[in-house]
Amino acid sequence: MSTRTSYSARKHAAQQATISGSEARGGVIRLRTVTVFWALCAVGITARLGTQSIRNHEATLKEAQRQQQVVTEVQPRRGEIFIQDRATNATTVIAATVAKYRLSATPLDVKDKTGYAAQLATTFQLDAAQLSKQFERQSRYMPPIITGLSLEEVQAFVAQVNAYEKQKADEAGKRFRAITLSGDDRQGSLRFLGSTGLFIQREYGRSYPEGGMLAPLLGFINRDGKAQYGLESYYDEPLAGYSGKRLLEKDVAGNLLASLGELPAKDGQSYELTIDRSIQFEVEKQLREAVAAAGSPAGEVVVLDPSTGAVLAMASTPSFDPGKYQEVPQDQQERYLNRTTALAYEPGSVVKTLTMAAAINEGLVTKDTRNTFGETVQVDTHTIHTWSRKAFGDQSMADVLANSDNVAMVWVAEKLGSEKLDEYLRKFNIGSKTGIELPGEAGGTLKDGKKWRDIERATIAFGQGMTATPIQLAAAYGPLVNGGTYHEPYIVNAVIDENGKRTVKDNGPGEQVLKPDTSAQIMDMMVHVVDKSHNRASVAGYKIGGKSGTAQIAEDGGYRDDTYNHTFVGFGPRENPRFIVFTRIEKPDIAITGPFSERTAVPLFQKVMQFLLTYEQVPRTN
Amino acid sequence: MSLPLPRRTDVGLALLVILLIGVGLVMVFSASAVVAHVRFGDDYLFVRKQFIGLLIGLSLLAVTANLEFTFWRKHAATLLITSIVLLIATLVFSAGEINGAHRWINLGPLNFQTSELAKFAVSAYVAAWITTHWEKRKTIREALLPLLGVVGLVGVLMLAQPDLGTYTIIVMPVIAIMFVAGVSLRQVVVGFLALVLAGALVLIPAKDGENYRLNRIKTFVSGGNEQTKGRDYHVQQVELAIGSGGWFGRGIGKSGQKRLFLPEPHTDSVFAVAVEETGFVGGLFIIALLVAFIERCYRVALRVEDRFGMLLAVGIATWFGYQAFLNLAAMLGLAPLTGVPIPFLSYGGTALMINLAAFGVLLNISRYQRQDK
Repeated sequence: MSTRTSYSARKHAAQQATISGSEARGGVIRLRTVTVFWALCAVGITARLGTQSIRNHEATLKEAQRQQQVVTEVQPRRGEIFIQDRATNATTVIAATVAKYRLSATPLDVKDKTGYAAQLATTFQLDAAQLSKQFERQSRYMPPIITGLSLEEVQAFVAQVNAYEKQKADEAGKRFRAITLSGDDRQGSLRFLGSTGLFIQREYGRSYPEGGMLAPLLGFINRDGKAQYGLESYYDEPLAGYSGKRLLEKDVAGNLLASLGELPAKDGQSYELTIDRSIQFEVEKQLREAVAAAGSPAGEVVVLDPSTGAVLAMASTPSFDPGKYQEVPQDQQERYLNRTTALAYEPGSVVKTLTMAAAINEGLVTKDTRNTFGETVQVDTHTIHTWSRKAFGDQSMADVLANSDNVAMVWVAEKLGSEKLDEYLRKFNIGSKTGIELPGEAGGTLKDGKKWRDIERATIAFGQGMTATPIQLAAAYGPLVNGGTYHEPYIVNAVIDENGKRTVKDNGPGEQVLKPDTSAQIMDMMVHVVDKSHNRASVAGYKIGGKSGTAQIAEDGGYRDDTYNHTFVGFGPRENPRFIVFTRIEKPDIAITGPFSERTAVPLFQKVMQFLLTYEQVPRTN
Repeated sequence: MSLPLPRRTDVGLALLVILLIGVGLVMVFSASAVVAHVRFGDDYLFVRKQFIGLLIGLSLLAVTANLEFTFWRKHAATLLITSIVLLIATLVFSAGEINGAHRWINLGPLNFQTSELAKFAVSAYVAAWITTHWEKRKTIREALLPLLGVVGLVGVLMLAQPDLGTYTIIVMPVIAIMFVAGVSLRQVVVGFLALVLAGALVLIPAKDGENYRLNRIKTFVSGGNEQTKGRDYHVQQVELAIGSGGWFGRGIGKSGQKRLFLPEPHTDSVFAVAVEETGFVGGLFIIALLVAFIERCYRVALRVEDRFGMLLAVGIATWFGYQAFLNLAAMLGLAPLTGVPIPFLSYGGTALMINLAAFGVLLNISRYQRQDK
């Protein structure tokens, strides 16, 4: 038929083919009909376009945007915690923020389900069959495949996927296009592994590069990302910053595209502590050894700079590793406590120094004031003994401290009176929290002086019937050795904001609570204490002062004979005191150590002080 | 030859096409960038391909515009046979399935959509047949049946691809040519019904539930109740795109739907993206442009002093017009979605090439217009 037609066409090509008049008229009418038909169509189309695009515009746009946009949370970066490293004159990180990645997938978007399941299974030792089953689900969601990956591990996996894809492409004779990680962290925390359907999600984690060092001070971040204990908890809000929100365009596969708007996140601020790494390390080591040697369950050391109140070291044991906090058994949660701030105890004779300082400052006694004291003294219905159950007789106030004479202290307290003693103890911040930047601080107990019975005044004067924390005691010795100024103890030296701006904290000038002369006298007296009674505290080449305390532990309303707290608070060197060192050994095994601190807290003090003087290259004076 | 001497080409018509292509390139780029990026990692991929199609098309146009249109009358049969061979070849040597159909054969750098050529060939052949058998054009045996036979043969091949949209694009110009040629309206209607019936055959699903064409038509006929809305995602997404536009749209480049929510943002749905970005006003501009263009194409038919030229011009004009309106109607929920692009505006290399070549023929015909009085 076709052949015939083309033949015909050729045959008729030369024939008359132009249009006659009447035919043209008919053609014109029919052509006009066709154009009118299209014109009507155009009118209809336009009317419809109007209704479709304008009517319901708002609602339709909203519905469209619901599928086109997604709000993602932008996780802030948690601040870090640094400590000093005086040896290198720098700071070093002790609580670091590390980016970890969780690898996940959008099952619907994974094209090569069995292939990728196999790749993932071999790399991360997972069950390939189970993975590929999860990929087969008609879902946009699946639980994370693996968490806690470093970026390097993710990139190694990307390289492996590329090798696999290349092999596949080569076998199929297709062009290979390498998969790359999409975008960067700016788009929330999601990044895609090309179009594989796999993606990674960044999550910030904590790492404690120094292991268990400073753990009770630092606290930790638990598996839910919540800060627990320590500085982490105390400054959780500023450390955490706050998360932002980002409105993102997305495509049909859920890929995030351009950002439409942002409520910016604020990264957390970092803290630079006053703690020195080497001192802290040595202190922890000595404390561990001392506690072990004493057969003690617990102990604490605090090292303060008396001129500022800065804490240079703060150690307590038992402790934990904040990176492995979950290894602490359920029944030993008290390991998480910072015992230097959270637990108050009856300190015993270390308080005598405070009482004596008050009396000297009031002009009631001097270090050389002498008196004769018996073996006992009667207060109300109570009889108070010397610790040795013998009279010290005629002695100076300096000897009273060196002998740690309870009977003499009752006399001093009586001269001072309840209100004055109370007033001074409170000036030394006994009875209330120091305000150190740690959570759960205990303030200890000190009854209102106006309500003291005489026996209460008498015992408080030598450290019983009241409680205090190690940090309180260490700080209370500050004015005794620095010319009379009380400084609040502190551990934060500087704050570094999210932009890296460092602001050194101003802790104020402190409060003058003693006359400089009082401080000078009480220092001489404490040096005398060491020289006369605590040779084990002395450091060759330096004048070292201090006071011990041995307190029976009150239990069930009475004191027990076999459980003691051994405390020593001292300073050095006398000429220019650089350090206050508080040491305490709890419940030493007195079968090993004897009942007194001479073989527990005192030698621990000595070792720490020896280290400090050497480490800081303090010039010898003796 | 009894043709009058050729006169000036219809420059206005040419300018309208240039405008359409310009708007088209902008819209294709805007609509395809995301798809190109996500699927091929190359934002400009489709624009570049479209540009290659444009260059080849312009070369073809340069030839056809300068080739006396009677050439197509002489060689109508050859052209038709070539198209039929190519359509068969497409079924045998398909370049692969794209969107559930085999419509392309691979010709070096470009996949060639063979049905595009068939659109022109059938119109040319029918115009030539009627011109040659002018006196007998109103008879059933000598005109209607042979033409139905030819169109039916091409139709079967097209439906086998299957490509229902293109099939109707072949049928509509034939009906228009017959109508304008003065074939009785009754015959035209009967012929139309017969061909529609043939088209309907393809809608009988081969396997249950796998016939998206039937679904689309069902979606359309039922007016989109909740149940069918779920069934046709594409329709719903087009509605969202157009509804997002409002009066002035969301701004050029700011379509959200083109991010693959619309399955074919740069081909079928380029108008939806255009309305989303430029609103009712932009949509109206495109419609006006198309109407002006189509009217101008028919004006060529109206003024040409040659019977074959007139009928071929009607065929080409109807082809462009019907294809454009079918797409717009589908976008606006007035017709089922058939995957038909808008001439000169949508993405499609072969389509642009053949459209330009056919347009060259139309320009050539325009040189034989009567002068305005």
